[in-house]
Amino acid sequence: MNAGHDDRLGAVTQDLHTVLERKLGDLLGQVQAAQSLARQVQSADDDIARRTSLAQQLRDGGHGEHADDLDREVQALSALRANQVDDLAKLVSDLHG
Amino acid sequence: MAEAIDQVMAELEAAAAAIRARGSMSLSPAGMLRLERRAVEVARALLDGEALPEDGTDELLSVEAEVAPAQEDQRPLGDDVFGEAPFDETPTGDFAADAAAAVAAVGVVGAVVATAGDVANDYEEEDVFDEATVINASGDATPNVSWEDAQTFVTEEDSEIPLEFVESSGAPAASGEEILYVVEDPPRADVEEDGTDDPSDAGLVSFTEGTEPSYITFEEPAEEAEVEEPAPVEPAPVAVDDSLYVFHDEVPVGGISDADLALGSEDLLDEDEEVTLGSIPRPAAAAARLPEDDADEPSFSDVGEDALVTIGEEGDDVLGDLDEANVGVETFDLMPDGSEDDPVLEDDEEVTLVSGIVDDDDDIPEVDIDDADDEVMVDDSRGAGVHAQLATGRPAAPSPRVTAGLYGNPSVPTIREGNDPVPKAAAVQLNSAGGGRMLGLEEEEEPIELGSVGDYGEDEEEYEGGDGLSIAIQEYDEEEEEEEEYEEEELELDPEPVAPPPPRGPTLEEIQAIFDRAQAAAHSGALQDAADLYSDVVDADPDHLDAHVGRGRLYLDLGDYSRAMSDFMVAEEIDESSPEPQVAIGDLYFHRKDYRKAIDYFDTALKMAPNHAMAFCRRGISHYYRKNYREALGDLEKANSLDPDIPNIASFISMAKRKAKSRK
Repeated sequence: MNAGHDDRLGAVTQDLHTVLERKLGDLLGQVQAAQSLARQVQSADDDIARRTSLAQQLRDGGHGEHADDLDREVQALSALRANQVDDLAKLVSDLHG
Repeated sequence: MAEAIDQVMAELEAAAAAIRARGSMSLSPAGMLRLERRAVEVARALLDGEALPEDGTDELLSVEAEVAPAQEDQRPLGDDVFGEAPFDETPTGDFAADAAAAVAAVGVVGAVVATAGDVANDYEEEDVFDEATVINASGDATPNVSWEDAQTFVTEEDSEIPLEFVESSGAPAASGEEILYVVEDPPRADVEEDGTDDPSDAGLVSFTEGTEPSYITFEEPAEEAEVEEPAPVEPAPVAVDDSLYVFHDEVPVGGISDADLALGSEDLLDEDEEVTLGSIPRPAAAAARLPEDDADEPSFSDVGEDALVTIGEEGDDVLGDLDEANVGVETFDLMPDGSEDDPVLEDDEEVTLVSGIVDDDDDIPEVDIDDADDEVMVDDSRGAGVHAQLATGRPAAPSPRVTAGLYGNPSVPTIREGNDPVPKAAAVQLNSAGGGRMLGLEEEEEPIELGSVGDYGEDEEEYEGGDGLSIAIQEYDEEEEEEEEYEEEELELDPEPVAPPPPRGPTLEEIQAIFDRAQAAAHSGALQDAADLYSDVVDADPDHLDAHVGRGRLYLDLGDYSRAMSDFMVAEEIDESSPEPQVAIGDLYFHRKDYRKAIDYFDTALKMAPNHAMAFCRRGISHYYRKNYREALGDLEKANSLDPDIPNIASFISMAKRKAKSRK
């Protein structure tokens, strides 16, 4: 009788640990995905700022044609960043439940 | 926005740490490893736009729900047992008052750290306080209760009364009061056992001989450690030499040269102290000779920014502040320390030394500038002297050798540069008006000009010292002018220089060759090399559409979506009618699992080029992943008909067929 209870208790405990692993793993995965996206957004911000600054310097130096190229790159990066921010907001919202 | 992202990052980091901590509390190391693997899978799936992988726990949970008893809601993390206790009054710093306020606010006896019996037992084992304040139920504090009396109160009145605060005081407490709390006064935590006072301990919880805290107290702000200011060091009086001297508070503290000339040791001079450079009347024979080194005399090496330096006979002629005179404090060093220091003077600076040497006969003797180390720094940018180096201030330059025998007079010294067999100068000749010149030098070679202060413009207005000797150094101004003249002559001789040929860029053939190499490198898998070659093509021909698209695709393969998108956008700008940039952008979104946007771009590309096989193929695969199997099958079959060589196209078609059939 006691042995049966112990077996049952052990099985339930094992199942609970499995559930905990999966659930915490899912949660941690969501957090890690959000962290990755946040880093991408930060990187995009840096790229945009760098290109914007460089474009301004080119304009000041009379190389407006190259500055226009950089402006296009900034637009592309901004579009990409907007998508990343949307994804990040969705993930964070999911995390908050 | 950056702050918001930083905030999100911090919160996510904290969340990840909390999840791991919670997992490590319940799971084995192997379980934690599985948890991490699961997290990686989930994160990858989320970033790829896929649904979370099945965890298979729903069935387990449903089983557990049947057998597990209902559990009460758990207290949220971080919500401790005192979380709702009304202890939120700001401590006043007065222990007795604060403890009384806390007692009155709580109003109950139970919400304390330990029962009186426990505390009494504990305190019996380790005597942690000598006197205490007893606080009754109304919150009134009775100070100055000895530990024995407090213990008696506790044990006699109510052994279950908890102790919370203990504070030492003076006189014994009156008995018969209802005791609620005993507040210990923190021992002099800032006094060490050996009697030394450590201000860093003030207000902190002290510990007994073991590691357990002996009392609980409000944390008081640590008092600032009182640093005893060292007594100001007065400059030691030094023996008066018969030469130029630096005065501090009218006390001569050093000669003008060698070690004596150093001004302003930090511990000797304050920032605003006035340092004067004056002279001591001395015998005429030694009037113009700078003093020798004297290690026994105090020296200075620095002065503060605002140190006022005056030079003059009476030592009260204000010649300028150091900071305004643009003399760096670090370089304000009158120590003649050889060639190790950076040159103090710029080439175009005029350096003036003004001394207050008084000669009764007004007969200024010759100055023997025979020591390159004699250093008198003067910043003449404001017409104000500080001190100057009689040598040029260029430590690398070889010191002139002094020989004798010019003009047939062996007593007249000469000055030679390096090993130059021809002497450059003989001596410095001074005239009665304070002017002078170097004998034996051509006018344009003469590096030093001697003259009165009045010869130098602005100095005249500020300088009031009168009859002093002045030495001015004008370095290389004339040489610069000479160089300029030389350049002008060169320009005249060659009025129409041949313009260098414009840089020749690569020809179209060369660009195409580089492009071919880039494609070959890409096919061989050398992605970065291929990207560099594409960059060369773009540099040579910024409007090279295929190079932009090719480089963007490489960046796409390398995972650099930003650069890839940038190249694709540029390519789109170059030729808005070309379908390639549209297909490439669609591929980018395809890589990012954003199939809806990818399909939009493939649609655009197919409008431009209705027979674009790859666009059909990519759009078909996108439809497949969006579970639109019929559209997927149609696009894939179209792509196969247009280009059967598309890799794996047959496999995609069969997969789509199976899915479409199962959907039916």
